[in-house]
Order: sequence, then structure tokens, then C-alpha cells
Amino acid sequence: MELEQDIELAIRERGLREMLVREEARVRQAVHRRTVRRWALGGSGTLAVAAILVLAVILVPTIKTMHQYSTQYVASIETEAFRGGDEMSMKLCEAMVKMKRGQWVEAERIADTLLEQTADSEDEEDIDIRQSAEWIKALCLMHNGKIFSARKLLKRIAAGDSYYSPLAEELLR
Amino acid sequence: MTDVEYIRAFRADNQAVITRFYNEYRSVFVRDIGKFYHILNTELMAEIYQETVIRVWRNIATDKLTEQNLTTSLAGYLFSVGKYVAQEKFREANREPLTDNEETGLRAAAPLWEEETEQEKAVRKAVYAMGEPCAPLLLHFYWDKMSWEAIAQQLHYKDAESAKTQKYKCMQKLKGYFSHANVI
Repeated sequence: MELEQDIELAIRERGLREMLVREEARVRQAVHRRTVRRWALGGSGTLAVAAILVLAVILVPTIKTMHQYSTQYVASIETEAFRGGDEMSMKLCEAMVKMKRGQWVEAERIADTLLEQTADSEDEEDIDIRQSAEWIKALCLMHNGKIFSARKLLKRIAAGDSYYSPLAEELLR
Repeated sequence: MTDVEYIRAFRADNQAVITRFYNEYRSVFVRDIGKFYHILNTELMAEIYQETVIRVWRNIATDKLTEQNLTTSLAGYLFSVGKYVAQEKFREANREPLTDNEETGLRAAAPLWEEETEQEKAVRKAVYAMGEPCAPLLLHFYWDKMSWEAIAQQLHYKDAESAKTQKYKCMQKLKGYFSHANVI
């Protein structure tokens, strides 16, 4: 009887171990996707956040308008990193491609859709998408001359705890 | 969820809740234990964390840890066991025996911890080495708690009875292995 109990326990433990290994792989993949997404939207896969801040500090005084900033920022975005991602990542990619092609109104529309879709979600992936979509919307507002709306959104981004908060803070300064 | 709810869910092998627990404490465990032991290797930290959760589960499954005898928070217990597991990994890597004081310290760090018997170790080894057709069948029955009808359908048995018969054969094979090895 004791042997049978030991066997049952070992089988259940094996099931647990296999489940945790799968879960760990899933978590790492999600972390990797978030990191790739952030680096792509951040303008370079090799720049550290500090380097991006330095770039922002150098860029901001020399750029005369938010319009110029958004144009130059978008020029450095990599869209390749999003290929083959999930549906919402692909939508982010689509928004960025639109911005690169000068289709800022359409890009803002896509960002609004993503913001609606992720509005009340507490899922980590959705939060990440929402933060990226907010940043895209901010760039679009700046480019389209909606300065007051852009400033309002940048203040919200700066007050949050996202990857883009330091960038928004620098722009507001 | 409360600690009591987690313990009950662990005892019942509630996979959704165990997964939730795993994700809830993962990042803080990896950060804190990693910092404490200066472990930068993320794969090693993941291994330590998984082993820790499994040991907590095992203590609950064997009633070593219960709702009544949990004296700290479940998170605190998790971290105590985690330190013990991390120390074990270092010990394995360095291949140095522990001093008496270190051994005492480890046991104090992981309350309700008992060494496994030789039988338990041997059983685990045999179960982990199992392949088809026994592994999926026994996992579906004991871990997934599937019905025999569902198991038969999933694993393409003729019917539930055929699946049950295979399970009996698998268990007999495992028990026979230990009889021959004179472990029991």
C-alpha cells in the first residue's frame, strides 16, 4: 500500500513538474515578446533605456516642434521585430508602418482601437499593448498638431509606470 | 486567495490555482533569492523556483504542511524552502559536504522538511523514466484527474475498460520493478 502511495505521489509530482516547466516557458516567451516589442518601439534593438533617454535629451532641445520630434522618432522604429506576433502585436506593427508611410490619422485610429480593446484588462500582455498604443497615439497627436491633447496624454504616460514614462517626462520638460 | 485556500488547492492538485501561485511569486522569488545568493543565471533561478514550488506541493500533499501547522505565511514558507533548495544546488555544484552547523541552519530554514526515503527516491526515478503507454495514461488519471471515458478517448483506447486494464498493467510493472530491485 505504501509503495502504491509513493507511486501515485511520484506520478502527480511528475505532472506538476511538467506543468511548471511549460508555464515557465510560456512566461519567458511573454517576457521576450514584451522586451522585443519595447526595443522595436524604442527605436533600436541595441539601445539601453539610458541611451534612449540621452538621445531624447539631445533631440528635444534641437527639435523645434513636436511634429519634427515625432517624424524623426518614427523613422528609427523597427517593425521587423513584430512579424509573426499575435494579433494585437500585428496591429501595433500596422500602426507603426502607417506612421512610417505618413498615414498618421490611420495610425491614430489603430491605436484608439487597441486602447479600447485593452481598456479594463489587467492581463500583463494587454497592459503592455495598452502602454505601447498610448505612446503611438501620443506620437500621432504630436504629429497631427493636437498639442494640448498630446501634452495631456504625455502627462498621463509620464505619471504611469511604463517603459515610455521617462521618454514622456523628457518631452514634457 | 488566502493561504488556507492555496493549501487546499495544492492538496487537490488544482492546476489553475497552482499556476496562479507560481506566477504570483515568481518574479519576487527570482529577484530576492537571486540577490541573496548572487545568482545571475536566470535558468538556474527558474530551476530553483520550480523545485521549491514542487517541494512545497509535496509537503502539502503528504500532510507535512497543513492549514493547522503553518506558522508563517505560505509565501514565507516558500522562501524558506527556496533558500534550502538554493543551498542544495550550491552543494551539488561544489560537491562539498555540509558542516553540522550548516546542516542545522538549512533545516531551520526549511521547517517541516524531512529527507526522502530510499524507496521514495527510487520510485521517483522509475516514474520519471516511464514512457509510452504508461506515462500519459497514469498522468491523465492521477494528475489531470480525468475520467476513464475521457482518458480512453484522449489516448485512443477502445473503451474505458481497456484503459483501466492498461493502467493495471502499468502499475503492476512498476511494482514488479521494485520487487526485483528488492527496494521494498
